[in-house]
Amino acid sequence: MPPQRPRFRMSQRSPGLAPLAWAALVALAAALVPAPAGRAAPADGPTLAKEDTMHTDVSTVLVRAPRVTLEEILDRVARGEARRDSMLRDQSFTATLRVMRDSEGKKGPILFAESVSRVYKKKPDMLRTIELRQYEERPDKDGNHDEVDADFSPGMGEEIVNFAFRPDNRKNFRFSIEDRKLLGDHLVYTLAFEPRSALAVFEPSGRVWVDTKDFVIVRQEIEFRQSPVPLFLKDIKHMVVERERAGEFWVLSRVLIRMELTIPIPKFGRAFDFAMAMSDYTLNSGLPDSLFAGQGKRGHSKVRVGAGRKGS
Amino acid sequence: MWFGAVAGVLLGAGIACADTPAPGDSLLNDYVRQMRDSTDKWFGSTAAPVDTAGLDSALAAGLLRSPNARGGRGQRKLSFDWGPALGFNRADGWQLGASASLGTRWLSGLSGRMQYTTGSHDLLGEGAWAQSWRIDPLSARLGLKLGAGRYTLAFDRDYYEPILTSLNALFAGEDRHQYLRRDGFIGSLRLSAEPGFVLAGWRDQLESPLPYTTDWFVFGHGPELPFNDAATFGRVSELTLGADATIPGTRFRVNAMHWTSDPRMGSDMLYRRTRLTAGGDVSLGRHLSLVPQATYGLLRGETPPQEAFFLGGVANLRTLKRNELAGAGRAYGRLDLIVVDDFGRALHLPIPARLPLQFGMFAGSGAVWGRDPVSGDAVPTSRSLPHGDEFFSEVGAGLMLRFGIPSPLTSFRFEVAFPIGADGRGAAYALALQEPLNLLPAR
Repeated sequence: MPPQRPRFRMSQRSPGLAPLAWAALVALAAALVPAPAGRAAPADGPTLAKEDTMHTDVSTVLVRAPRVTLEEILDRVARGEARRDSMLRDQSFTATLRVMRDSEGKKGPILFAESVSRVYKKKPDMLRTIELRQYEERPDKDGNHDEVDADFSPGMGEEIVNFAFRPDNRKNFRFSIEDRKLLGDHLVYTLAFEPRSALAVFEPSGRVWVDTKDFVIVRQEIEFRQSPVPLFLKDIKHMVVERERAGEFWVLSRVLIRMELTIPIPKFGRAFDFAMAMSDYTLNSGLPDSLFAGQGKRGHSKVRVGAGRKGS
Repeated sequence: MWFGAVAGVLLGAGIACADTPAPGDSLLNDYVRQMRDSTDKWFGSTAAPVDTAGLDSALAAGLLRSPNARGGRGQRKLSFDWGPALGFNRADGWQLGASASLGTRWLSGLSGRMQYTTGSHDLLGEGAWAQSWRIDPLSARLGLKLGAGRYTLAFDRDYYEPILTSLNALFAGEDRHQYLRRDGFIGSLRLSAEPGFVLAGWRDQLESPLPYTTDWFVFGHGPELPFNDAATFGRVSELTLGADATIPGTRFRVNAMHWTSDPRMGSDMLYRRTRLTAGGDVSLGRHLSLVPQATYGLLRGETPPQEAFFLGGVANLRTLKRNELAGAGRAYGRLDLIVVDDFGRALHLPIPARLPLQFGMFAGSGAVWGRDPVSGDAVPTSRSLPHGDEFFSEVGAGLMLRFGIPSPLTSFRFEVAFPIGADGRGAAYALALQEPLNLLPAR
């Protein structure tokens, strides 16, 4: 049966649309309107032709190439991370550090302290941090802001993301391939890792998502079989480390941790969240040395979360 | 018409390609975004983006300030911390005083301590300075410590924990350490990196004996040892060399220490004291850990009691009393088998605060040699190894309540040990706050 002609008409009242565009619309509509299966097409609607006279079989292709081994993936991740690090000359980002109290209370997480800074880094070891905002739920009477205080490392290696994959640390972890996913031309491996030592029940284990196109880690979820400091910290319930793409690089975007204290602290609660978010990245923009003039070298990384007054 | 329709579809597809990123990147970004959304949901408002209102003007103002001004809060001032410094032993009695530390971001590590002793009516004090520097080419850190003062120390140079020992002496009178006084200078230089460290140290101190002055403790009178052994009096100039390394490809560590005192260096005493320790852990699946460790020590030359090697107690052999045996040589080995899972949770035990409780079994064997059979003191010996009949062995089991302080592996251990062999020892209970690898010094 020859397919019926669709009963759409071109309107002469649309002179702005070219005949070609109208043809495209008609074809699109024809493709989008489904034909009822097993029934003759209605007389006044479009029909879908089904070609049932041509058949083809594609024979099974046996692939003899060796599958990439876990060891090879780990080597390439280490190299990929090192390459990423070596290609970064300078960077700047907005860093937000946040402590939320009563995370599992009825009202949900309540902001306890927040610090927002703009951080500038340049190799080999230049660093400048400009504090943009400080918030404390209960500031000191003298106006000191001591609750959340961040000092950043001048390095751009993002050890919190790749600590298990660093060549000097890899022997301390056991790795396994948990999943593979093909997303377009990206093959994403999910690798699980855990401490090799059974005694190290307090050390992090978890899983990482590796984009094997560039062999960079795009996400990490960390868990702890037991708390590292059980006397004070009952549990680290959930920890996520996320990266996002900034230009051609994957950069650290968020670290989120929910922890539970052994003993609840008055006006703070038992469960609390710690969040560190990095946004508004600029990479390799050629930051001038004058931006860092007089800052000196800062060879450490420290995030201090505390309460009360310092003896200063 | 047909041509127009086909061309229109192709045109539409072309437009779509131009407007979106490469399909692969887009799929990856979507995938990552999905996981990010689930994180947002889990963490709730914690994961909310920062409110950017006012940040641009704050940044503009911050950029105008000098880079030296730290976020507008200015340079950090001098920091000062202080706290009580308390101790107790049967030689000094109470040690009452305070300690303090002073520093800035650029000059840190100045510390001091001052104490008065109620038994010997003496004034103890010590000042120290410590600083460290990064050595980038070696990925290492160089630390320097210098100190001078007058203080009391135990004879046992290898395993002495002042806080718990003081508490034991104060409340139970069961402190079995012997004490001496040291006055003078001490310094050390240490290069440390991830795989280990090397150190060199020097001290020039007058060592003197302390009398037994305090015969009471909180819950009784007459401590377990109603005396304090006399230390050899003399000025000691001593060179210390040490190294610690992780054996590549393993989770085993080796620690080696050597102390040399020689009259040619201005010392009153001549000795060479060497100690080697090794230990590590072997995992048997995810639930069991085997922890072997061993230590060997040898004292050559003179054998002042404050340089002897001790055996017995929670530091090594549980079925001997603490420091029951002393000699010029010591060998000791121990093997622990630990069930790392939370034993308390598995048995539904009502443990406060749910501290992880682990179960373990152990076997240990050790010997001292180069000791006077009558006085029990260390005497010079030419032997480097013990005889077979000098060994004492034991087996036992215990529970470990893991506190995680000061190190994540630190546990409060309650153990019962049974002697192997008919040598007059009996079963013994031991309470200790220590790590599974307690023979290896902390890094």
